[in-house]
Amino acid sequence: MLETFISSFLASKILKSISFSCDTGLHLTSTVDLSLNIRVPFCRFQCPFCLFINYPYNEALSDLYVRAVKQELKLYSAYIKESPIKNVYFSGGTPSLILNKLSDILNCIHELFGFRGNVAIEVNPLDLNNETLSKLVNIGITQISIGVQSFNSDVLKDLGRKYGGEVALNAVKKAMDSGFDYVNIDLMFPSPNQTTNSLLQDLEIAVGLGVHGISTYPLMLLPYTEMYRQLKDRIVEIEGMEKKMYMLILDYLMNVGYNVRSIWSFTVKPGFYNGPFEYDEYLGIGPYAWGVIDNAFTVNTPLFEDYIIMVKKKIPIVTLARFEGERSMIIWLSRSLYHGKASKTEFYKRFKIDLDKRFKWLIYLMCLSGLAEWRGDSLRLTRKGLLYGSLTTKNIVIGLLMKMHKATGYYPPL
Amino acid sequence: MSLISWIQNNMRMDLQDDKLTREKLEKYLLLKLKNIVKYVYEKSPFYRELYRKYGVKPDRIRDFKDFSKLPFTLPSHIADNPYRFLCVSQSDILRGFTVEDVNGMRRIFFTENELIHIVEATMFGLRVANLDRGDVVQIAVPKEAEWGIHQILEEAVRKAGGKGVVVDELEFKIQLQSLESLRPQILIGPALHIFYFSEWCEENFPSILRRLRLKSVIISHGCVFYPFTDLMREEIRNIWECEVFDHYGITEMGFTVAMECPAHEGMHLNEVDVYAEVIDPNTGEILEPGVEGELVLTSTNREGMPIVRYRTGDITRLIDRPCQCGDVATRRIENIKYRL
Repeated sequence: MLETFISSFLASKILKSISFSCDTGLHLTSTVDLSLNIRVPFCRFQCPFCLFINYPYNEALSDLYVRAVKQELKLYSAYIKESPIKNVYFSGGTPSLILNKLSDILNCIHELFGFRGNVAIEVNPLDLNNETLSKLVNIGITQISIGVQSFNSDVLKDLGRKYGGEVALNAVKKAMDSGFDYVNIDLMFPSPNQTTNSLLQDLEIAVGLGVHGISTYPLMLLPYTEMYRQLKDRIVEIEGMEKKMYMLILDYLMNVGYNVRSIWSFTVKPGFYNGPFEYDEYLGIGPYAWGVIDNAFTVNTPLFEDYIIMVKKKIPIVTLARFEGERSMIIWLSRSLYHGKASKTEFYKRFKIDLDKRFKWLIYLMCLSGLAEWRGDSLRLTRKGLLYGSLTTKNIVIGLLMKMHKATGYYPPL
Repeated sequence: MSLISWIQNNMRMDLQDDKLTREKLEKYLLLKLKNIVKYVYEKSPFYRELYRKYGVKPDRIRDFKDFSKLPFTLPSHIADNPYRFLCVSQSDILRGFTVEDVNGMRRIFFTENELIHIVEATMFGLRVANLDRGDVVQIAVPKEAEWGIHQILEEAVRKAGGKGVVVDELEFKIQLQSLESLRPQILIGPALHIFYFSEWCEENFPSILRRLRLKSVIISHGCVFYPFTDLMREEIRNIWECEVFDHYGITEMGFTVAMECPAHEGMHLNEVDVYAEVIDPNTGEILEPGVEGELVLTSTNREGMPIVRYRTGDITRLIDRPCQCGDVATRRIENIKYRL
């Protein structure tokens, strides 16, 4: 009861702290640790659970896209020329669809920022074969995240994925043999007819293949999506399955030696890899890309056509939410707890106030209900805390996406 | 040129002496609504059953408020059985159009009279968008069977004294070659095609663009909704250095629902053929002009397959303040923001 209250309280407090504004003025200066999240808006097909605007791939559109991305990077380079870019992440959509054009973008980043860091990419299993994998390695991709979702063909069918378990398995096997520094896979749970057994089998296969990271994302029934329409009457049932399955994932992966990288991600190589939205500061590049910079959460224009027009003149951010004062503290706490722990020293360094004083009641209640505990300098989520953290984060993500859609004036057509 | 003359023609008012006011138009609309409800009750098996179920007595509709209490028609109703909407014999139907989206596949039927009327309405709409006698119009829409959109447009241009040429090869190079040889004053095409074609021309053939001197670009929309934003409009306008006119039409209502005028302050409703309401999509309640909601349309002038209080799923606002073009009678709608 208390944990449900804390979860709802935290989700609502964080969502209230995120208030989008049309005033998109940013004070861009060089920062010491900057990453790029480059969103590629093309997909072969729209997955029934996905809320994002994606476009069917075609050569002409992808040319326009690459040209526009380079224009956007150039616009940023005028402000942050001195910033060393640490990481580049190609997020989706399905970035592997523009495989032949990625090096064009990477060369541009190199020319503008002298970039030589990590490059990560999200890929669809359908795009992975010996040829594409060697292309990815040759153009300098060092980390790969494969959107497997499941190795079970029935589950994949439920999720509207257009490949079977065998394809997913072969894709991961080949990726493991291709020499990437880090191979991550995404799994989704619970799908409408998934059982705990099939989820366990998915985890066993992934662990058996020796993947470095496993991200397990709960199914988000987002309004306006096809899956929401199909399953809106089963939300309570699905949430019940979700809790059970999350605990199974957590216990299994911790037992076989994986560490918590975030509430939804587990790793055997801590510190090697970050998801696209996990960097401290990053620029969102591309249509409907978002970033975090200058204490603000920024969102680019969602429509591809508007994007290619806007970048001709200005940075295409159409809305942003500023994190200042009180807001930035609660946002910092939630982002830290997403990774499982919040450091007192870090908090003090940033805000010049003690974490346990600023959030005295919240922390007290979290510890009292067994969601968190102090271990040395850090407030850490317990096993139960990770579960409620997952439920809270899911509600925040859904709420945030709805706010973003409203702020950008975009509602997906269905 | 405005839609006033089209409406006055249909209301059979004296074009010189009688000034069309909102009051007169509303009186006319109310009469049309009462008639159409009676008509569908008598002729359409779907509406007879629906209205009996809800206890609707067509004779008791006295004002717009009474009309707004009628049950809605949903896309799924038409998808279930379009033939039950027919108010004429199937042998009187000349052309059927198919609409397919998430609400299912719908067949919409038209009689010959209706198709001729659509051509007339389209002609007036094109004249609002600067079409003059002697103009050449490049129509960049796919060719369909007889009485398809391409033919309706071609015929409407011809009736207005111009020449319409359908160029249904959507490859940019061919479209540009055709523009160069035809030297049209007006280009009509689907929003996305026109946008990407414009971008392509600007990128590759800027000098040809300047020579072409279009007067207007008219945007058509297919049955799959895609936003046409202010930025896209401005970009097309800048590239061609001409006026850009948006238009709104759905097959269910006979295509010619609303057309933008040269004041570009929203699209004037063709209130000869449709009556528009904007409702709260959650509660179904009527919203005031200026408030965003779902567009609900009634075809007031159809004989074959009239549709009453049809939920379009299109989100917009009604504008009832006078337009700069001088038309104080018709109401307007804003650009469609999104489709539910």
